Amino acid sequence: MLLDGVRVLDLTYFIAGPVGSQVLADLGAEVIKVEGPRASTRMQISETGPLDDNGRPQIVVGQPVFSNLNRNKMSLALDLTKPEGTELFKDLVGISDVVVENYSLRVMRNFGLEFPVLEAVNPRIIMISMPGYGQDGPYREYPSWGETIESTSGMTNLTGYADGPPLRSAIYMPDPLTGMHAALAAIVGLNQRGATGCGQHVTLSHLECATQLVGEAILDFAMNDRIQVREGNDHPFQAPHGVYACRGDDEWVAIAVGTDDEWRGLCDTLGHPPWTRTPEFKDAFSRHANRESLDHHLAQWTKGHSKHDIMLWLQQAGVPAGAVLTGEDLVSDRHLQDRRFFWKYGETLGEGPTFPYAGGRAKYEGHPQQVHRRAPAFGEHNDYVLAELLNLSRVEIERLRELDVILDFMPEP
Amino acid sequence: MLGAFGAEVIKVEPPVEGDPSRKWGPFPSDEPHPERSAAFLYLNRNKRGVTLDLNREEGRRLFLELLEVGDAVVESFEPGVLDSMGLSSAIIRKHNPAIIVSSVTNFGQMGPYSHFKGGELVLDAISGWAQVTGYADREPLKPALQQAQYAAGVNAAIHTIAALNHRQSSGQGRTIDISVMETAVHFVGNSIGRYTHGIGTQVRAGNWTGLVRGSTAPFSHPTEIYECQDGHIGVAVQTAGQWEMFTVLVDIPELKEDSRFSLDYAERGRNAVELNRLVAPWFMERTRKEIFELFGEYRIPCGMVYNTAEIPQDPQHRHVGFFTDLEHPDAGTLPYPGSPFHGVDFPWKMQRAPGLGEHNSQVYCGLLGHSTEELSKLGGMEVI
Repeated sequence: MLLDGVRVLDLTYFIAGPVGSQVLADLGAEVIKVEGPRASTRMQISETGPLDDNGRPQIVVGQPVFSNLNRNKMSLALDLTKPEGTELFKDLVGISDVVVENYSLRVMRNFGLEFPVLEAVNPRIIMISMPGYGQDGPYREYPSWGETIESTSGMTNLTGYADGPPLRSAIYMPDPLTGMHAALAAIVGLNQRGATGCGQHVTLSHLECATQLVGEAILDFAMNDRIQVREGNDHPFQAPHGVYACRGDDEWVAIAVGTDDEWRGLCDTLGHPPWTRTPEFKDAFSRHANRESLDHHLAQWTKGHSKHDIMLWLQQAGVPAGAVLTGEDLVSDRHLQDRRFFWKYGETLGEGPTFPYAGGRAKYEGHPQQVHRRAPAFGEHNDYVLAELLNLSRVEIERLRELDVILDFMPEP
Repeated sequence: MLGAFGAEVIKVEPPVEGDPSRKWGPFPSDEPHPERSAAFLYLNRNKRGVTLDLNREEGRRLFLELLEVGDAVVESFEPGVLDSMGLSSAIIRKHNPAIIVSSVTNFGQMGPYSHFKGGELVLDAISGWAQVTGYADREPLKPALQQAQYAAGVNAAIHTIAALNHRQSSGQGRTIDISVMETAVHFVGNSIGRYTHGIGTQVRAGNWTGLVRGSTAPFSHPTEIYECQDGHIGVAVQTAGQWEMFTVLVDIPELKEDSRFSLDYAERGRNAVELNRLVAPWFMERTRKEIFELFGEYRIPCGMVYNTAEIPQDPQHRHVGFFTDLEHPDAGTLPYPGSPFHGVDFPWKMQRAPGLGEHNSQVYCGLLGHSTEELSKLGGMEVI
């Protein structure tokens, strides 16, 4: 594995940070998740499902998000608010390569674990921090979630139906995106260390990561004073370019015709009904100008067929088309199954059932990546870290447990 | 990104036409010009540009020479195209066993969809992202711009640099297969988890979070975009502490007294409509900036909904100097987003995109040692 031999101390929670350390863990780094006595780090959720037979909402409790993002990591439950805890952490820094944390700015300061302290322990340590707005500037102490960063990045204003208000993308895009940037920063830091022998502190800003995605629209404004607006699924010059209802309930297919060849492929698939031969749709320009009428005709056809059939027929004819897949569709999708994309592993606790989760983010020819470990239970690797990595004696470990510096059970909230 | 981190990136474009993104725009005054496409200018900073016809034997030979001095090849042809040019990843790695070949394609190198046609709309659909974006009673919605494809590029940079690091000790090359679809499926992990864990099929819920089919209650509330005096503001109150502070700041008695709006986020989610009705007027009476600064000070996450004119003017970006002006001989001086990484020693280069074939002589003569006569002969044959 590419990151074999790299040890990462992981002080991350929620989504962005854990995505970053997940990328490193999936590539073979030994990631030790350092968890304190805070229930929120486990993201145990109780979620409102559909109504039951008596019309009451069903409450489902689980940890799908935590289990997904924390596979391949170990867990050390350590209270960093206690001096013995920070001393142990520093000992770990001495034998590690990377520290990644996504606390707000003041937290590492309050622990007394700022970069200069870590660097004094280990000059080769690479520290990655990721506060919402970076380490500087008027917003630096402000809290954020992916949803709110998406607004300020400009993406929300561009997402939505042409006749509707600004909409979020539903997946808190700045979170996973910033997580990927954090992994990238760690890997670049390791690369530099190979040449210089020195560690460094890299701070990245969620806002600035997300704003990268809006670059061309910002250039458009600088070039033309044009403020781009919400366009739903429309394309500035392609048509048809939309999402169409198919047979069934909430079943849809995306169709995007760019070239004349693709238009001919679409007409071939439809069997050349008369409307396709009208002057309204004779060339790309007319098709775009009359796209409402075109969408109406096309939707009459799509609603009679399944989304998967339409996708296959159109793709066979060289037309870009994609079924709108649900979570359920994805885990049984034949392409992803053929690529062995999903990894199956169990929940955190006990020997319960296994679930499929999105697997490695790349395929390496001749080097299959495999999941080694489900997400860890709270403090599951306390003994490994303390006894094997830090060579602490049984007596010392017991003392740390009695002081509640090392925890074996998550305290009740 | 590799270029930004200091790698010498040589962009190989077909002669005459160049990279298709030179035609995409947007262009100044909407007049197409191959050196003025915003898409090309933005995505090709920090690269040198050469032209080369890989479909010609002379072109292929020059490319093999480049491979000998190269560390990595990053390509995004449809699977099979490089093979048809006699430049399959196997041939590339036979020529230079220590090279990293990263392929970034819509659906990956193998599998039943590998030859499907893509594009952002299709990729957002098939990755499950469009299914959860938009309103339940309307069609699934494409998130704006090219987010899935951009993320796949970041993903490719991660794996390419990790492979280069590993090569330092192992000497091994790699063949890496990155799929935009798979990169984006990671983004809908919640949607997959809700299905596999029996919570239900996640549906479109506008700006609410995590609604499943058959339910009317989002995961939590208020996660909403509210209209205010001068536009919209996005709010996401989730933790108990944030909710308590929210009720203090908006100071509406019902929020504190009514058990429907309790510390339990799921309970608030079940009463989202009523909660919105109560707080909407408070937002309408205030400006975005007023709310953002008040909430920021009291640690409630929120964000102004900015249009593209407002983004570069934001005080945070201005303080940090995030946008950097780059001069371009044809496109003029434009502000580009700068580095999201901050560190004394962390690299980040900002150089304008290359003109078509701008560095032919630098690369073919300077780097590979060909004569200027050879170069003009190749130019005459339109190999370069």
